[in-house]
Amino acid sequence: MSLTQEQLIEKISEVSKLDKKLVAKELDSFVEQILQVSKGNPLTIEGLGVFRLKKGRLSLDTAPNLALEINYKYAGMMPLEIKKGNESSDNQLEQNSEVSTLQNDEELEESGSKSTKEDLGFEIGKVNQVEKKKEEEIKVPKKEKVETQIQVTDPILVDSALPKTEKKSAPKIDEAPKKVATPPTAVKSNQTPKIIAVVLAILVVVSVIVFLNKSNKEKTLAQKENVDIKAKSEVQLSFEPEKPKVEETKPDSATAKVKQTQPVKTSQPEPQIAQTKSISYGLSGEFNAEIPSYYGIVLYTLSFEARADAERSSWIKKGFRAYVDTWIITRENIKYRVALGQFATVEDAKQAALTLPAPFNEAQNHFIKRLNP
Amino acid sequence: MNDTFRKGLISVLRDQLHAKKTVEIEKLGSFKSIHIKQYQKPEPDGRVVLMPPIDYVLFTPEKK
Repeated sequence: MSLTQEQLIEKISEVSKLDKKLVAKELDSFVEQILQVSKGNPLTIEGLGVFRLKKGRLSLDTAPNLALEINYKYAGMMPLEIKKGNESSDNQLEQNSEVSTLQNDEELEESGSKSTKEDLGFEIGKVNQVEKKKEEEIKVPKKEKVETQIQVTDPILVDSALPKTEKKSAPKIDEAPKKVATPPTAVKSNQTPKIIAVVLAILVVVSVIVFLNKSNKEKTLAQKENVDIKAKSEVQLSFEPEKPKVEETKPDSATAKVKQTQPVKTSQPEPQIAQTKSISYGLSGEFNAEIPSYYGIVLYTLSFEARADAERSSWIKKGFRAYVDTWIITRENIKYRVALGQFATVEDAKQAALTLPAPFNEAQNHFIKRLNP
Repeated sequence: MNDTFRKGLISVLRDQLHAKKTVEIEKLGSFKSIHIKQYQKPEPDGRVVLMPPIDYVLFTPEKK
């Protein structure tokens, strides 16, 4: 897509409202003026830029305003550092820079410009010149520094490097820092015991933390169980008076004698226990260890025996035949079941469970278990 | 140079370059807008710098 001179003249005449012939004359004089530019006399055209000869070739330094208008999309964007530098990788960088310049050329070709590197001597030329200067500035002091280091550390390398040209000596100078950089390894070998000591200390700290966590977990479990038991016992206390009424409706069993003593139970639980000593099975009375096998109503399964004993004694005080059944899962994992009553059959146990104070009378809050002392 | 002509020329040139069109002037050369994509530029000190994209005016003198 290009604009020919005739089209250009038409456009200019439209914009400036000048006659086409006048525009054509002005354009000719404009071209002549520019072609007369010599080395020492650059021609500045306001709003367009400066025409000058560079290496015998006419070039244009675009005026800042026009350059900004053309580059309006990317105006203000600055180079961004995405990787910090390493002094030891000079060789790689040189190779990379060559690759990057090749890539840049490819990009230029992709963008549709047929121009060569020399054609880019206007805008890019500035940047390249500045960059080359920077590179030269940076390279020169580095070489001097490295040479001084070589003189101190390894005179043989200096002798071999000095007679060579600058280009050939450059890679050898790059190798020199590697040899100079050897002392830190010795320092590292001295630091190894310290590192081992630090690692051991970390391991000790971690093991202590793990141990503390375990003990804390056990404590929290115990606290949770305490809270549950307290909540249940509070509920149970509030429903305690219901107990004798339910037992009155109890139809079964081996508890005919218990029925006779029921009115006494409600007001005086201790005498009731004395009366029920002779009863082998039942929900109330003392625990009969002589019974070989029986069914019990299990209310709690606890991890701590003391807690289970406390719970058992509280139920005994309320007039129930409470006891603790030990459930050995493994040597280290032992549970303690707090159970009520001793019954000959499962049916008896179920019937008796219905007489328990709420919420323990609900099936979800207890279970019947065959227990062997 | 006529100032009106100069302003008109620059205005037309700017519009055409914005539209990615090449402006050719006989005996002088051509003006075109060139785009360079962003690229990573390794510096001699090891840094890698991301160079921003740029659009710029390229003047190519006519070959004699």
